[in-house]
Amino acid sequence: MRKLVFPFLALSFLSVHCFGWTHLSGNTFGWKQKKLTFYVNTANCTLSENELFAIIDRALAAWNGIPSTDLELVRSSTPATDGDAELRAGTATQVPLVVCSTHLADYSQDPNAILGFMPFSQIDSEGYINYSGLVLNAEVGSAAEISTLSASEVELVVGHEIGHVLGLGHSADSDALMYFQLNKTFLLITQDDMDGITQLYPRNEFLAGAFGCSSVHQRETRLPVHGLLGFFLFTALVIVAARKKFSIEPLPEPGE
Amino acid sequence: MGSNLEQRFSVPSQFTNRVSQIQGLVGIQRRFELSKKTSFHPEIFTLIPWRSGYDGTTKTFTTHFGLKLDKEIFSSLHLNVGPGLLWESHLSTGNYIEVNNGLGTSTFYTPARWTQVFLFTVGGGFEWWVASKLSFQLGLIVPDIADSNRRRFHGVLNLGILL
Repeated sequence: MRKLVFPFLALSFLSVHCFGWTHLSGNTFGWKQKKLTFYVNTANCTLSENELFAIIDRALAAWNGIPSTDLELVRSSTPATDGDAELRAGTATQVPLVVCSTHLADYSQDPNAILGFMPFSQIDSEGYINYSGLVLNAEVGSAAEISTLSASEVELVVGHEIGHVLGLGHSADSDALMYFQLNKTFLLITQDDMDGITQLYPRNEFLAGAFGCSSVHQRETRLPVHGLLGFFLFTALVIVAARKKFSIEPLPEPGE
Repeated sequence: MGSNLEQRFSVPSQFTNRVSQIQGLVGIQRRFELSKKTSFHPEIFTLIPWRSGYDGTTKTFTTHFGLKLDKEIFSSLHLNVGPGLLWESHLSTGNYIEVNNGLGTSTFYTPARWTQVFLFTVGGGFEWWVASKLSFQLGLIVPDIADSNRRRFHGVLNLGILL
């Protein structure tokens, strides 16, 4: 039997970026639910219901595509009954809520500059977000009204604002979706965005709630010692069993 | 937290080129021979966290444990495949940061928290022995292989030195 040890130097294509993610608050754990439903009120929107739903679905799918988080985002299949007025008043029960506003001055926003924004984020005593939403500019005639943009540009706006709804702040990484400038042509969740959202919604397949069996996302930060011990014990057993199964005999030396 | 129109339509020149970056892994692999042409390779790799940081208060460490079964195809070419465990550790010490908000600046935060992520993976690849003590490996590490939306392919190119 030959025992070989390999030290490796490797170049990896795992992406790395300048680190810049932030959160809206220093002590938030994001939303409490693992499966978060976005409610969409299509009233006042300058895009058709189908267009708006398709854009929101693509933006949610982008955030759902991160393997290191246990968050699942879905859109309510029916339009929300809560709207712009309820969101502003803080009385909306269908949250997070997506609305279109025809009067951005209600939110003290400039309709000629702001495409969309996240006006509120409330955090409860446990550190969970329990109230938020995003507003799209539907003020006809304004320079930043969303129907003047392409679908992929609106998707970028919605994707960025969903990041805020989930608890992310702006990033200092110019590649990130959460960078303050939308300096991109299509929606792309970068490694920096993934790292920021992973801090809020980490996925740990060793601990309780793994494999989708829990409705509350993981906020346990300790090392899963038992899980790791089990993994390494399993490795040792595989080695022992394989060596017995194959009845290893010493290999002949070269030249024999 | 708004999406600013003027900023959206004027992309500064420094943002027009996006360069893919690579980073270094170091690792060790132990080979247990099961037969003349088959062996078992437990391995551990860790990414060197040399990210350039905005404020230096947060770090991400990535380690992968692999359990690979190796099969010799030709005398210098081997195929390997097996499960693994990806461990991401996000460490941040807590800070507040003034970040550009488009129209001004806003205060954002990094939490004081150490977050662990453990994901089961499937990996595989080829190993090409170019000399008796030197090999190249080209491989893939895939978390969430059964989920088409979350599945990610991490490519790894190894230079192996036999001790």
